[in-house]
Amino acid sequence: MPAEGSADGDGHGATDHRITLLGPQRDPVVDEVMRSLGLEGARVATITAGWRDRERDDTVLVEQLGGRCVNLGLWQRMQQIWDEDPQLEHADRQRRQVLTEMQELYLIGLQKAVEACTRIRGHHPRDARVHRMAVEDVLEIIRELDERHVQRVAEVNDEFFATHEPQHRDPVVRGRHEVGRLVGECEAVVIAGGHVGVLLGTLHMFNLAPVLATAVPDPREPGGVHARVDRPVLAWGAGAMAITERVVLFYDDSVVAPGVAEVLMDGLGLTRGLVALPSATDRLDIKDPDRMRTLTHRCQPRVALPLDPGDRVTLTADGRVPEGTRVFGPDGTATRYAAPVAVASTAGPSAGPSTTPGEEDA
Amino acid sequence: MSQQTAYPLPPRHKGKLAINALRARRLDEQVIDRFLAEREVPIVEGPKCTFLYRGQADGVAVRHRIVNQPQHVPMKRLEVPEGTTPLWYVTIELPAASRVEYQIEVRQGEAVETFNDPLNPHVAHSPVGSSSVCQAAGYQTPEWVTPQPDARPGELVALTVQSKALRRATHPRVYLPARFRRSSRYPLLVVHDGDDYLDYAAMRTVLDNLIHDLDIAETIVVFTNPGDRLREYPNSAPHARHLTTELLPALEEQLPLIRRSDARCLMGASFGAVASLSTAARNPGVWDNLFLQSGSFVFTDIGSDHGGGPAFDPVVTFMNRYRERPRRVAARMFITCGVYEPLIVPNRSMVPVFESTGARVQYVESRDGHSWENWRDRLRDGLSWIFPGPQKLVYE
Repeated sequence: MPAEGSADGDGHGATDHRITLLGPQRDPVVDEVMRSLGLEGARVATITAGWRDRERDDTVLVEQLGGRCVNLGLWQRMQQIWDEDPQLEHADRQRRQVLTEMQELYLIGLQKAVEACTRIRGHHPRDARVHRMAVEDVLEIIRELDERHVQRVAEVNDEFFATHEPQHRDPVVRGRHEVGRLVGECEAVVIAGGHVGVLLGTLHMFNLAPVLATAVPDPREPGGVHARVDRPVLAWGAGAMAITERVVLFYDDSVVAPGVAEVLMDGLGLTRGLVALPSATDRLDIKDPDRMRTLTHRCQPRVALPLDPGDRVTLTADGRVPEGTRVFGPDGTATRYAAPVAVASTAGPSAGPSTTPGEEDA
Repeated sequence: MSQQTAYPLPPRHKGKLAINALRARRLDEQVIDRFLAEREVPIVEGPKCTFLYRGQADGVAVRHRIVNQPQHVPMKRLEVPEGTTPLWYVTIELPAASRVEYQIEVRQGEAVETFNDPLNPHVAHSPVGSSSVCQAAGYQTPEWVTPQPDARPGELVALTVQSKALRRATHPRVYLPARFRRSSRYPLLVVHDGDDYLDYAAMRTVLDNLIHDLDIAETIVVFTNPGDRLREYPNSAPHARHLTTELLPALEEQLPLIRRSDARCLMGASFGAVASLSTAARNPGVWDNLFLQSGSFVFTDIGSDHGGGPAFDPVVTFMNRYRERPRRVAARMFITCGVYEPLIVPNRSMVPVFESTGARVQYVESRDGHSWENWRDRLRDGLSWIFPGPQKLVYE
């Protein structure tokens, strides 16, 4: 049976489906979560495209779902599209090369800015006000770098979709139709982790955002919209990141030098006002308050949501973090989330589910 | 930019050294037998490493190759009752995380014999034979150098390339990462002394593990081997021509490689590092990454007397000329060297020279010598810097 929303929703009644974000599933608890959501026995569409060529190594997941599931096979479908449409494959390869170079160059600037932030924070202030202003200034520069990067990534994607119009190419049209049909036959959707770039690429190519959710008016934000998922969605790891508004990459424990968290691109935008941080405790140096403060500041106005082993967060019906959830607060430490009192947007510039870049809902 | 090596804290040891405790005892054959059976040799106690040899001899010494240290360290004979097999010992202080290769030298009259330490099972192999290994306190063999059960193995494929430049056929071996797909595009790493890297630096296992752990990108690695190493490696035009105009086009024709200089890397140790550097220098814009281990970058500031023998003549000529007019040969260079090898001085000296060309240089030192296990232990740092893996993109 599909789950119905609980009473704390915003009044969408029978369509009050929720997104549930989970910690890493190395020791899987998907079966328990499905049961607790009243989804035992429900037919589930699974997305494991982040596993790339191991997409079909999903025996454990199938067992967890009691066998009543269909893997959408997005990665494999993507390979078929590349085989059938080499021109599109070539264009997409070029797009990815451009994005890779953009990411590299953005990172060079970002590393310098973050280094400057660390040095300024470490400065022993002679005047506290001057010191505070200097920290705020450099944080603003970092945020500007992030925003510009996301905007430019979106421009490259828009240009690709406008120029090559994958949505009008036969293999893509066929794939989207088939995927849409399969999802339509299911009562829930599960999106596993893996390679977030690959996962996002496939989700966009098959235009999953409008398949998974509908844009509805946001009562908290006059004139705004939010995504209302059409069926319950469970996601973890890269899957959790991909369905949020913004994907932030982070890995403080890299081999050569501590990494700098970097914005990859906007996600599908099915959630509002959160940045998903899977395996945060493992991947982030949470004992370094400066690094954590910088990270949470860069996430604002969204809230940094850790998804550690055992974590399970069912979002509100409008895709927001519920009160009392463990999050990273402005000072970088773990705290319980309290929604802002004022009626104001807690989300960034994007609102509602993002369609495939450069095209209308398919 | 040099990387500050994070060595473990200096090891400490409280109380008497084991050898001194033994000396204070009444000794006989059984006591010494038990003493040896209960301990790994050399005995590592904090920074003190006690080397031992048991047997009749007129003199015994430890021979190692730590630069700026006496490399012939005589052992003392422990006083034992007549009829008891003598025990020889010497204690050497080694900094934390050191790894030292050595042999035992035994003199009987005029006859001198050098061999691996019969009391120490740790042996390192190289093309010129094997040596015993002393692992000082704080040294740990990296876990990624031994096969990991969940790491999918890559494949090694033999290749033959007819070389006009070298006037011989070359037989590189090509490593294709697990899950290799022709529809993907891969960076290229060309390794000098390829078979030695495979045999003595466990490089196939290292690649399997590092790719599995997402530390390095899925990479096609070509293990090349020299014909006459001392002719082909020290700044040889035919060698550089072979790699760039024969091997590279053949590889690009047969394999799905990223056809960009920033997706190519030349790598080598010792003379192989010189071959990598000189090949990149002779072909600007082709090889944008270099991974140079213990490069034989010998040069002279005055005259040409370098003391390295005739094999080093072309190296010194090349390096002196390069130092006179440094130019950027690669965009990124990862350089490693052991602080116990004589080449530490030229390697340290070359770092600012390379940096002055605008290249991004990462320099790492280790408390180790001119050895394959030293080069093995630095592979993760170097390869993950040259071709970083997708760790930051993968969230399980």
